[in-house]
Amino acid sequence: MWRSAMAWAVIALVNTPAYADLQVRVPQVDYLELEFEHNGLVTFDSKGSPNHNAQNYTNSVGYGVTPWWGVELEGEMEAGGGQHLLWSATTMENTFQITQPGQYFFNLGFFVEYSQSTLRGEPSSFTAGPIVQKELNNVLGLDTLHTLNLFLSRDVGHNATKQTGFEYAWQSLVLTHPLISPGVEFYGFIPDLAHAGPTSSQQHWVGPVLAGDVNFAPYGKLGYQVGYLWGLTPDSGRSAIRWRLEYEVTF
Amino acid sequence: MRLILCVTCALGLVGNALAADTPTFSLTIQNRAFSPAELRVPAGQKIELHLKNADAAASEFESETLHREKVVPAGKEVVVFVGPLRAGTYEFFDDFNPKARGHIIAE
Repeated sequence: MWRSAMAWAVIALVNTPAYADLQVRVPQVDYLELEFEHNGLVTFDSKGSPNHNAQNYTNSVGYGVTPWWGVELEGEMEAGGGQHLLWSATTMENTFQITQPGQYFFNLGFFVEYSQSTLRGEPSSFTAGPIVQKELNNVLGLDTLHTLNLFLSRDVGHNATKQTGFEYAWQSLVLTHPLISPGVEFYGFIPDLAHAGPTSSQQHWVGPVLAGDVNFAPYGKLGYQVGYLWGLTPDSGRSAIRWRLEYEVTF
Repeated sequence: MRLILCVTCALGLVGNALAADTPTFSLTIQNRAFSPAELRVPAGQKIELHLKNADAAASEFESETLHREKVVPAGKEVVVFVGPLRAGTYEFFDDFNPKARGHIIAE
């Protein structure tokens, strides 16, 4: 009975639209810092739609191994609309810091991720791409921070497709106060770049975000982000809420 | 994959080309304190801070107003780029030893 229920849950999950990670990666590595991070995403759409109440949660632990390399081990749970949550993947994320913040016109990093699917019959995947960041200080009296992720992904292993996926994430923050910085985010996901199809069949979102952190030095730092996103295409669903909580401490 | 490597390299080259010479200042962490504790720098210009840790324990230079944090291992020197800054005072501290504090005055 339990096995049958699990099988139906897996089928339902596989048949729900794939979502990109609605997260913005930064090009900095916090050397010698241990980080615990939780991300959540819940989507909203008309009742009965697979985009309604789809959920995605990640919990990860990361460490700044060198001044230029940070690694994170992540567990990912997903549920299609109205379905039970399942552990869907175990992921290793690597961030390589290429430039010092403020050293050049852009801050530059590179992201590489391997995601091992834990769902039977589902392929694993590689994702990689550059992280570009620009600090604009004293523009109309404000300091702002702009971060762009441009990632490509490929399936590997059983049932891997030949598709190359493309996802982008862009976040612009106005650095008003460490506790609260407002901003705007854009996300997009094209499952097959070679056959991207019309924009209406892709996923694109936009919405406001709040970010901030509280420093408990020397006992670590607690950071948060919360954003509300509107789907810009029918495939994106109507809207979504996403959040991030992270605690980092020197270790 | 070749495409994203090319994009990354191109962005790095553009960044290098646009980098300009920047004035350099030095700070030393010794006996769990910053020396000097007050640093005067030009406003409206990017600056390069050389942080030397003369202590036997690691420190972390951190400033919420400068938007920077950087670990300085024991006995090592690191570089932090900040600005261009508006005229004003910017506090910094050692995240591992918050009693160690100082400030940068941009003028």
